[in-house]
Amino acid sequence: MLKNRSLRFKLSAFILTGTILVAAVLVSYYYSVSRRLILESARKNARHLTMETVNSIENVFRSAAKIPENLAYVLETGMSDEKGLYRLMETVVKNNSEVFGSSIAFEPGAFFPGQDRFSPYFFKDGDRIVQSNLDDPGYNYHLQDWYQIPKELNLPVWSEPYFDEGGGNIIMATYSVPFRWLNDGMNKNKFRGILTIDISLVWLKQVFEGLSIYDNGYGFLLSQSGKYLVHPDPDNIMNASIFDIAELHQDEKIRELGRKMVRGQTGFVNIIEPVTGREVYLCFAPFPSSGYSMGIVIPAKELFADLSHLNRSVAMIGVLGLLALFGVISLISGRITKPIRRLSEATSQIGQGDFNAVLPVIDSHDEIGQLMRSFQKMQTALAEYIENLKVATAAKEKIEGELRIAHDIQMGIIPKTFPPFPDRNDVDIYGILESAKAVGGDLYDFFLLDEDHLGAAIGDVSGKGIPASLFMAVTRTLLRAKSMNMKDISPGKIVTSMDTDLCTENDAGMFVTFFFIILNLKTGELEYCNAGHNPPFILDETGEITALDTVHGFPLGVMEAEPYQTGKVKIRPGARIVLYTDGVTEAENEARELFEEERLLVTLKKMKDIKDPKEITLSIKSAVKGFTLEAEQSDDLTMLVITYLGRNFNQE
Amino acid sequence: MEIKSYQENNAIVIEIIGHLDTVTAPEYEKKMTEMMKGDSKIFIADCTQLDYISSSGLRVLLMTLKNIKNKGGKFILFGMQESVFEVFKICRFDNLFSIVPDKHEALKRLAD
Repeated sequence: MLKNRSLRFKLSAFILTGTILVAAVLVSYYYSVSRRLILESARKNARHLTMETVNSIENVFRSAAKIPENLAYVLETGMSDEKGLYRLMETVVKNNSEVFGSSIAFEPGAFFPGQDRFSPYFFKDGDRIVQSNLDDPGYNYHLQDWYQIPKELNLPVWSEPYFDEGGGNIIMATYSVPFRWLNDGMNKNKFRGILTIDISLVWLKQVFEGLSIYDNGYGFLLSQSGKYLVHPDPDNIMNASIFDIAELHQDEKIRELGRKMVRGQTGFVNIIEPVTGREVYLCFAPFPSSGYSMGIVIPAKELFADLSHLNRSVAMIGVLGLLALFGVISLISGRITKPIRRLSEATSQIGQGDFNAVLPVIDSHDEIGQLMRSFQKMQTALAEYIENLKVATAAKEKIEGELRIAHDIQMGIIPKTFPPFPDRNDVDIYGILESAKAVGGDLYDFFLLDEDHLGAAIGDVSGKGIPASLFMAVTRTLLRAKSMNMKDISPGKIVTSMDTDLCTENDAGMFVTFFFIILNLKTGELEYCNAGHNPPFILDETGEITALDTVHGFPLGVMEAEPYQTGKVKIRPGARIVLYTDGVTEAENEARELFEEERLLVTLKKMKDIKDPKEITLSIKSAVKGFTLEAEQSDDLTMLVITYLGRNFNQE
Repeated sequence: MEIKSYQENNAIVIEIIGHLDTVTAPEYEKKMTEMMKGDSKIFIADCTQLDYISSSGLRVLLMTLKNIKNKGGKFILFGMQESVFEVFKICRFDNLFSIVPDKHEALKRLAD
């Protein structure tokens, strides 16, 4: 994915990714630790607040409980006067603001002997204290819970809170305390009745409203049965229980919470508030005296509000920081890679052949600086090399051009028009000269000295190339000059004269093997002179082969010695003279074997009946090529074949 | 082609190994020119391993002969193979050079 991106991009991407990873790990670790600490602290605070509230409310309950307990004590110690009893009760109701009303309900006959029910009741009605009786015939108080339960348990009991509909629609709870006979001998310690006080619970609401629990946290209070006594939603108060809510929302967790609270357990739980659906933490604790239970609800969102806020700030700072970092990295990597980019541009220019492309200047001695200097060296060397190459190529082309011209000149000075004497039918000639290099050192030549005499020569200059071709040109020029200007000519004389000229000032040690013949076309007399050349063959009219193997002296140009002699033979019409250079016999195949004279002779034998010199020449050539095959031609391949037809022969 | 040389008595023996032709002649010429720069005037060419000689080869040998003679020295060839000797014979170089069968003969010729 990154392969095709720039160095700058890669550098930035890698550093940024690394930074983001490190930052993410740090932030998430920090967040989880902070969250745990905050939760722990919230738990402690909530518990503290809960216990504080429980204690302060318990104090009120306890002090309220003292009133009937003291009254009970008074009764137990012998209160039997009806008026005194009324006065006492009125005083209690009047003097205790939290007490709404008080009653004393006696067992049958326990105050007035024989009277089934006696239960005076004093309660506040505005500023007045009103006296009443609970001995209404339809209301048998002996069967009521507030009477039965403390009697059976023989313990003071707080009642379930209730709405007092007659007394101003306020929540109240009744504290029922059993009392007994103490000093009556017969009834000693026997249960005598129940003493009650009605306490308003309105103040509880104020206590809970006074609690400060974050912005939207709140406290609530449950009765012994789980009924809401205090709750932010007034509709719930005295109308619904926690179990109703659990039932309504089918929330098992709330039900479990309700059970724990009613059982009087203490705890700190994380739940989803069913009505609002928000996540909250809830701390709960019981009231030991009344069996009520209270809870404090803290919205999680608010609990972690600071942390979330902090998180947002950190995220913001992080993003800004990363942006700044990206900018800085981008700038730095851009600056670092700038020379590389410029170098890359310059080198691609060089790659396209512009060797003078300007490389960026770099002063630094770091790796980039070194790279740049290396490139500068390479560029210089390359430019120099190319320049040299251009010069060398131009020189080579010039030489090649000149060589081509030399070759053309060389080829121009040997006769190449065949048949050379179309109007003559006593002789036919064919020759080839194929140079191994552009210019070679072989030569052949033929010309008519007069009407009856044909001069023909073949030669091989030592070496090849321009020097050899020059030497060959000189040789050929000398041959023509000597042949034309000499009187009483013979091959030996001409060759001797040529040698004298060629030996003069021949410092290069060049020499030419040379074979020269003069054929009398009328008689078939053949005069020849061999200056160190391969002996030619004569394939006579019957197909018999003889070599002209007399050698008359050194090649021309070696040294001046004895004059060259002239050899003489006579040939008959139909004879063929085959002149060649060692390019034929020493043609080499890939196995470095030579064609040799033997193979030439074999070829010639097949030419027994062939008179056409062209056919003979080309047959020998193809035999040589068939032998050497792919091997590079190492020497000039030169042949001159003369077919002597003779006048008599033609006349037949 | 390969050329080896060593001193034997007052002569330098040159072993010419392989083909002496157009391609290798310049190399021979170069080595010979260097050897000629010394004081030695007497050279013996060991031709026992000379497999082939062309006209270019003959030319450089001829140059060697001429140069040595100009210095007033001697140049003797020995151990020539039949095919190489044939080439010498064709152009009569067998009359031009001192050609002997072996090194012993060559050294003896020098002593005369």
